[in-house]
Amino acid sequence: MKLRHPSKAVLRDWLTGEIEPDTTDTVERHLDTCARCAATLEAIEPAPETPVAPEALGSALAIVLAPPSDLAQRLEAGVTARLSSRQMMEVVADLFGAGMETTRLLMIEGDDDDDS
Amino acid sequence: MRPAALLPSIQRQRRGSARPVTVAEPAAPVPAAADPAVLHRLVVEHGDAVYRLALSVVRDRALAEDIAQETMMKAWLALPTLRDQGSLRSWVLRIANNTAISTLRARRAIAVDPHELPEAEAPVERSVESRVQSDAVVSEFVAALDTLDELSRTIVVLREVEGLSYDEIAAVLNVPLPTVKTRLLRARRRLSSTLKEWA
Repeated sequence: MKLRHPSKAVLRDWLTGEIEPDTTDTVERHLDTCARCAATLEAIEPAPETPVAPEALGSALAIVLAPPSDLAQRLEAGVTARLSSRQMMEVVADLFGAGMETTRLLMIEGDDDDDS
Repeated sequence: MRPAALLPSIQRQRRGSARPVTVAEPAAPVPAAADPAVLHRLVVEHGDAVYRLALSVVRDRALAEDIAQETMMKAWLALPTLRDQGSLRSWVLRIANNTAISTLRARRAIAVDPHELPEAEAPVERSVESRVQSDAVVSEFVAALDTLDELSRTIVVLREVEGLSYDEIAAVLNVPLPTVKTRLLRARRRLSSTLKEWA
């Protein structure tokens, strides 16, 4: 069933977040497919006090989402460790003729036992 | 075991193919001699973007790092199955998004108490420039970021930080193009309103 176009006031509320969650879902489903409402949305003027430099948003996001400075080393070490663990599971699976998932569950259970 | 000769180097990228990017999960056997140099390049070239995408979805730094690690392992092992290696960045980001969404869903499924869900993260490591900003300004921006849903956060990060085109974002996230445009518009408006005090 084709949804009715939301009013401009509803679209404005969706932009600012002043909208009920149920209505949000309906509006978002409609916006996923309606070019006309997408255009209406773009035509809604932003609040006049909010002009910022085009690159400011990206800079601010990069700051608050900044990765740790040693991320690359940590990822390499982590992946290598995971791979070793996986290779060990293959050896165990081969030895006992078990499937990989069974072996993984057994090894996880073993880890839990060690912790307790 | 797959012969090591089948593991390609990133340098040997085939370009010009119009094939769609598909995300292949790594085959069950671990390659006998996966090339560490390939992993190194994957991590150096795409690690930060993968981490930022994961953090924008789950809003928890430890979890984002776990997701980045899992993404890198999947990408490293599945790289031989990537037909159009010119689309490597989009492919890696799609694996990261799928992994992050799966992780979030699994967490939500087991979290009886909503307070067990990952807390929204305050920035813990900031650049020299950002240290001159007041905590209140940064907090206001982070709070605005957290009012957005995961999809909108991911879209605005892929566009404003990673510089992907609308079409690339739609492909990475597997969402319609109008969704990318409308969510991005809303995210920009909401976040920009908090940026007045940023130098």
